[in-house]
Amino acid sequence: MKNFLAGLLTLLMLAAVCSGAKINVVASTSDLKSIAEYLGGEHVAVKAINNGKDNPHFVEVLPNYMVLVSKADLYLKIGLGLDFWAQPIIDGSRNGRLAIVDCSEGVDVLEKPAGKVDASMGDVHPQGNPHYWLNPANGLIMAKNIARGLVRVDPGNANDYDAALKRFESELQLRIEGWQEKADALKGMEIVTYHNSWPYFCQAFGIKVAGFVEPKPGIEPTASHIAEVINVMKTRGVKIIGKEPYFSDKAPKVIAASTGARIVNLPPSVGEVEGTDAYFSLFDTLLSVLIAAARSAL
Amino acid sequence: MKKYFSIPFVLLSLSVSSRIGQAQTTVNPDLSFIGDMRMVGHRRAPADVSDNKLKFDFHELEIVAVGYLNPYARADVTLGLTKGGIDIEEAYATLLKGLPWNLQIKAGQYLVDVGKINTQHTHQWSWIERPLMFKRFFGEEGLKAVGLNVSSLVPAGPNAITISGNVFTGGSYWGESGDGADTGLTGSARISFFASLTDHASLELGCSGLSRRGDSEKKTRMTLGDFDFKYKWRPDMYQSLVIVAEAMFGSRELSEADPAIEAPKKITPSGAFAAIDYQFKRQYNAGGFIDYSRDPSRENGHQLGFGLFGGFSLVEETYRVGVILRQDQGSALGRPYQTIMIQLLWSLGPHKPHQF
Repeated sequence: MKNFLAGLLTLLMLAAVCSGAKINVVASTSDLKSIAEYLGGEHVAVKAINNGKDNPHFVEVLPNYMVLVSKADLYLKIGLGLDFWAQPIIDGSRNGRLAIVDCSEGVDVLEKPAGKVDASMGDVHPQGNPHYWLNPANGLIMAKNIARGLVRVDPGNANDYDAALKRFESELQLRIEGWQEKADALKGMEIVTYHNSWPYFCQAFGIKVAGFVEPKPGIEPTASHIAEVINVMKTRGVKIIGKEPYFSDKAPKVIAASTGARIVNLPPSVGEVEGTDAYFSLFDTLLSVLIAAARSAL
Repeated sequence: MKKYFSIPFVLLSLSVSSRIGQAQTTVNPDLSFIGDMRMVGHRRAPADVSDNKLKFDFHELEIVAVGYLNPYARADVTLGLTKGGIDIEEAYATLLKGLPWNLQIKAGQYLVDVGKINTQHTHQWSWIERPLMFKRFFGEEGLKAVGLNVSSLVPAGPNAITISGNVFTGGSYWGESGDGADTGLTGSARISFFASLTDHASLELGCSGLSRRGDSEKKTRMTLGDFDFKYKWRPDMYQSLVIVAEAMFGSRELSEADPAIEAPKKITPSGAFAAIDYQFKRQYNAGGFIDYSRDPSRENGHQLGFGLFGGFSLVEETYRVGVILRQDQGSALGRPYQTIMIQLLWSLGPHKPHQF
């Protein structure tokens, strides 16, 4: 009987391998999902917890996310405290064979607080600003981390993942050159953003951030802060307010009415708006939107 | 097969975690402090409820410590500091992974999952106070006991079924201690179904049961059944709607020695609670509730409470002011009485993810 069961188990495992069962990957965000799909191709089935349409700082821990992770081989985290909600989802999944990759490993993190961090500074991230995927150069670091995770859980297809990583690197390099050329029109331009999500993007494309609609990260705009932002924008001639689509446009509208600035919806993640269905097209859309806004503000 | 071999390993890991801990003095758990201050006033309240004077009350300071013992296990400790002293609200270790059939094992003192509301701490509720049925069935602090919980997460397509079973000692049942010396162990189980209806709406349905001996001579038994429901719609960070409802039905066989009733008899207490909570701006919410409990063994057999609540959260859960207006009426209360309660909640510590 024991031999029969062992034989049956072996057959089932062989059948699973021969059927080309895909590696199940769950990613905290749609940006990681997009890169994992590029690298994994036909070998992977990738799902994202945050689909790009909702604020990634506030994801509710739901049992169906735990179910998703319970079936996964690999979990991709953004890290730096952004997806702090991922750990209870992973714990709730009870998945003992899950490999976890923190995709921020190796990123040159901006705005690491130097001294003591506390809640008087707002919703500040003690490990530094976590919106690093918005610098396309960091896309390569993320891809390397993801490829490493894929090879770990599926060493049999390591060659395919390595080849895909090389393709990703070449394509990204070409696209970065194109984006930099396109972003020439934006270099030195000042904008105000709602949340401090854009330091990596602005660093990559030579844009300057003159201020934020939020007085401190995660804190609702106050009347006095709005007045201060209006003053800064008028003084420095800032004509664009960048806002993530999931934030209210109430305060930006007040500021825009006083300054004549244009409110621009900037999707910070893949899938947030039409035309951002993959990591590369996210930057195409962001730059197009900003260039159009800059032209109309002239 | 590998899973089965891992069981003794993860069990062993719990026993050695304290020794490992000695070498990891720099690895501290996440610590949070939650303060709950209230101002309470009553109107026309009976003498045994209140003297009808407006009072400030530092209701409780909750200290929460959470951390991993090792890669397989986590510990959760919640202490409640009140004027009466220090109380262990919860202190348990959970084996998170490595067990077969998606199992988790929790051991220690914890809030038993008879229903959903009982597992929550009071600061999670916009309606501020524990519903009547839990107070009457299990006492002011709900059903917390020392025991063992085994739960499994069962995928149902994209949805989730959670099956949970408990064996425990302690708790309080209709004012009687359930410390186990007389009545032995108590058993309970819960099954819940969670479904995401849309990207922004979720539903959970749960059903629980509890059974225990009612006296030391094993002549009587008490059983409880509970049905719970929760719906949440949260299209964005600026608005949400939560509807919760829970009903509990009990059955108590009373022995001859019971002072309340002369002859042996079975009584069937029950209770129900429902609330609707609407967040209409990022910082504001408002809602209403209805709260009912019936216990034929008591003089004040049934009590009905209902009211309205509202809240303002300066920044999420870190600083919250809640107000509740409530009316209670019942068979032994004479005329109805009203309560106004203002609560100031603050939370110091690391960010906590929002659980459904």
